Amino acid sequence: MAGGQERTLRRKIKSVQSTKKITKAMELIAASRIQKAISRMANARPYYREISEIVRDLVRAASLPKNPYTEPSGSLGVSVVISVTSDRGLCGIYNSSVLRATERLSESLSAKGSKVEIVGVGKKAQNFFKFQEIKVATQVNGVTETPTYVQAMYILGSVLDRYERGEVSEVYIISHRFVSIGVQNLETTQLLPISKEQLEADASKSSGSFDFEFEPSREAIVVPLFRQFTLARLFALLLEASAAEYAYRQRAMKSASENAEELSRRYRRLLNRARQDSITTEIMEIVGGAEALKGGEGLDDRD
Amino acid sequence: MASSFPFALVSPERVVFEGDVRAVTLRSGGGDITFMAGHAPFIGLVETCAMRIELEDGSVSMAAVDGGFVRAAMNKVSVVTSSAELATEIEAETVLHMRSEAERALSEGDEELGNRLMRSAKVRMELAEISD
Repeated sequence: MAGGQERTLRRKIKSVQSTKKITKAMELIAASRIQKAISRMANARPYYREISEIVRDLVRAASLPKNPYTEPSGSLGVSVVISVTSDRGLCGIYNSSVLRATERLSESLSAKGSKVEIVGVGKKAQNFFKFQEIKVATQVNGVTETPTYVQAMYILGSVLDRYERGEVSEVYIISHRFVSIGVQNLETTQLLPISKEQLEADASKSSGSFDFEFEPSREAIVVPLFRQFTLARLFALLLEASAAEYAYRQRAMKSASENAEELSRRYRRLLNRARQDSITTEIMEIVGGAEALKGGEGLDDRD
Repeated sequence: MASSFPFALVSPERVVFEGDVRAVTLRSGGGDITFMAGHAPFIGLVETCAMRIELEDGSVSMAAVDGGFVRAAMNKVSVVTSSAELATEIEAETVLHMRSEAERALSEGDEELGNRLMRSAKVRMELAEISD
């Protein structure tokens, strides 16, 4: 019986250790992917900087021409919520926190009387909304591993067309922001409409004002410019979400490896005790047997 | 002797070109426009076109640009575009694939996407001298 317990423990230790090997490998892979994701963020920065610069110049030059991006049609209509999750699990609370926030936001938007449309990014969002029987307007998978600009255009293209026609009144995105390897925050960002006050505040911060010539005209530039600007913002957020996913996965796998280590240590202790117990029992049996034999001889002597 | 100025061609995923140049010619608002050192502050729409970059040593580099914006200020010119490639980076396979995608979009009735892709493909085919 004691031998049986030992065997079970040995099997458990073996399985925990092979799990640990896997989680350790995943941790290392995630760590190297974070670096790649960070360099992708760095590569995208010049573009974002340049386009923000043009937006600032346009805002600073004179009052903005009337356009749907900063002055939406007014009435509450359709709100689009983009929910950015990963395709694969094992990354801690990364996905569940996004999905919870999505549910909360869509509830509060519905309460305000707008019709909510969900754009799901990532398989985890797809599975979740299917399970909850929530209708998803658009579903895009395979994004957060290596987000591309084409994917950003695909996610937002038709939404922007409808926004420009006045069929969509707001666009939100719920995603993880990557601050540093140690810090990522879940944030709800309002992509559209663009806050005019915010733009003007940004514009007034930077110095230097030029008398720009606009070709063909300010009025003709403003819509395509804000369109590209919005896409650039989405793309930047997707890149951050990707880096954050790897950071979450690395942390989750690190704690899983540590837990496996702890478990295997505990099992080993149990195993040693079980082995000691069985040895002790055996010795006791032998000693008891010998004593019994000795006792038997004594009785014989008396007779 | 024309003096040079810093120029950058940036796409969302990478900086395609960055360096000092003598002149940059691109298509904006229905006509070609050339930027040289000391251009007046300017912001313009860029059409999908083949862009000509005259380098400091007088040699010329061509690039395919899929629309975007150009900004000239403080003797610096930058072009931001959703995608761009230098002529030397263009791959025949990708371009032909792009063209077949364009034809597919056109046959499915998506004129906007089809025309856009077709223009991009044509610019690239001319630049890299790709024929069928």
